[in-house]
Amino acid sequence: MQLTDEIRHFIASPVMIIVGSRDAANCPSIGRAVGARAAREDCAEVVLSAWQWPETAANLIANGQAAITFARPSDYVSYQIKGNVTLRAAGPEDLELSALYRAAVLEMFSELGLAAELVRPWLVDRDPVVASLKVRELYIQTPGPKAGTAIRAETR
Amino acid sequence: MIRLRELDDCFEGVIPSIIATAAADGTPNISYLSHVAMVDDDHIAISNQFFAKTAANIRANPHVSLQLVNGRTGKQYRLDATWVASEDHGPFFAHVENQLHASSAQAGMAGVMRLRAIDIFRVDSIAAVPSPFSTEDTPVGATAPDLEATGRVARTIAEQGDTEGVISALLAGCGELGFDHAAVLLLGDPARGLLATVASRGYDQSGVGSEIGFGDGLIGTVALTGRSVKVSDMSRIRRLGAAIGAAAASDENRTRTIALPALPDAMSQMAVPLRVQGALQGVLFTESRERLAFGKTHELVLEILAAQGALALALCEALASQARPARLRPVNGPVGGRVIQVVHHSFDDSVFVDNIYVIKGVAGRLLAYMLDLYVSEGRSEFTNREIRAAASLRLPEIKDNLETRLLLLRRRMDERNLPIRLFHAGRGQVRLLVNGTPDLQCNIK
Repeated sequence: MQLTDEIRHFIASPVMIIVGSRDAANCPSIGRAVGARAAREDCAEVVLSAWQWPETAANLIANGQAAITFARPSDYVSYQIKGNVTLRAAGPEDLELSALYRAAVLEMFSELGLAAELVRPWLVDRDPVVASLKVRELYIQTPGPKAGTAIRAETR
Repeated sequence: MIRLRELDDCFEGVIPSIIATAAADGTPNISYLSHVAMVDDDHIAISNQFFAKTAANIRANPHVSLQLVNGRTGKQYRLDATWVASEDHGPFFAHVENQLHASSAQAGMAGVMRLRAIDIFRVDSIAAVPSPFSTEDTPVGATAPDLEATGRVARTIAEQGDTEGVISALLAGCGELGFDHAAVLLLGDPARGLLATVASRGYDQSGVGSEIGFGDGLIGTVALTGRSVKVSDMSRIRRLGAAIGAAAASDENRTRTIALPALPDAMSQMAVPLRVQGALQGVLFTESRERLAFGKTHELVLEILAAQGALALALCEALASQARPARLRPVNGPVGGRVIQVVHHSFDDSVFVDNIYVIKGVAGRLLAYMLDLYVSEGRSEFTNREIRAAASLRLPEIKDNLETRLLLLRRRMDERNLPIRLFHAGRGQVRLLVNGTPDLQCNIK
């Protein structure tokens, strides 16, 4: 399914990016990504550290099932996308994307009063990989009565 | 293995926690959590206010993963856990509900976030997420007060012989232990469900005489539930309810409302109950401009001081009521000097002296009662015993905390620099000092 311009813009801004995956026993894992872009109209790409999140990387290679949330700390606006992921090694443009993202997040948190020392442990790109998710489902997750509402979901 | 109790700072809600679940068909789901609480060494509870998908997934597949972040160091933890139960009552439900109520009330959203149930999980493993940036040696935030200093303060409180001394020792002790901004609120008017500030430290405006209702904000929640409440990052709450509280600084002579002592830029707040034999006496409140200023130890220390203070206050009340009435002296000589205008509005018992608002409610009624006797009988000394017995005061509950009401009245008159003052005149006795001739008017409107 297609991502709207608004969402494509949102996921590329300094928002928190969380990747959910699961193993063969259907036990879930959480990983944190450091940079995202809308690659095509129906595809989001995120950069994450396979060193910091080995379970997430292993799960994504094994079965590709993923949920990714994008959440803006200043006002809690959040979206979640779900679908199948393919994993690839990060190229120079992915590293650049990640570097820009990390700088922007540090600045964003600094404006909210959080010190850089507090935030930096989350912004790791050692052994970077890129997860490309073909969007199957999209949800609003901003806290409130509309949380969890599907914007559109393709029939599977 | 890391133990759950080592993750104290992760449960303060500064950095949101996250839960991942997986549906029966293997589709993962992520939810941010408004609150994670430690139940015991092996269990945690979450309030999952709005996310139906998480609730559905754990019933189909109880295995979950959580990410918790230490709000002081930024260190991330992975918790693998198994859902065991959902509860809509009981002590852990009450604990989470209490915390949720307090933080939503602070944001002016009381009632919006009603807790329906909590989910309880057994924690199977805890692992620290690796990071090249180690901040463990340089935690952000205050250090906890030590046991020796706490013991010294507790002893000092216990040694006090009157209500004034107890309150002063309690607040001085707060300062000594690093709680730089603190206030003591005591039951002002149980019939109206109100607490009144009797003393504070570390504020530009003392707020003595200000009132807050049961259930309102952090302090009112503690009064209502009898449990301690802590907020570690007010900015999160403030962002949710930015406009609330803008109308705080108003003219008290017009509104007859005194503003609570408050730091406009507080980041951390904590309130603990003053309780004796299960009955609420008041609330001890503290706040800080630091994020995550109060950890578990701070909470325990403040609870120790509150317990000691509550016992000492109750004892002062009990002893004052037993004190033998001293011989009452008439006013010495003719009263002269300028006329002092005193107006008592009986609809809310507010009292104005020379058009300056003094106080309302029970304390206002007390002042009017004493001034009436001063004018009609020339009396300036009053015993707790006679005040308790005075039918005209219509005070069924006054026996519980007359001493604190008198203290409140005394402090408020001092603060407003009035020509009428109240002095402690020995155990269970007060003296009115009037610098002029009061012209007492009772206004029934």
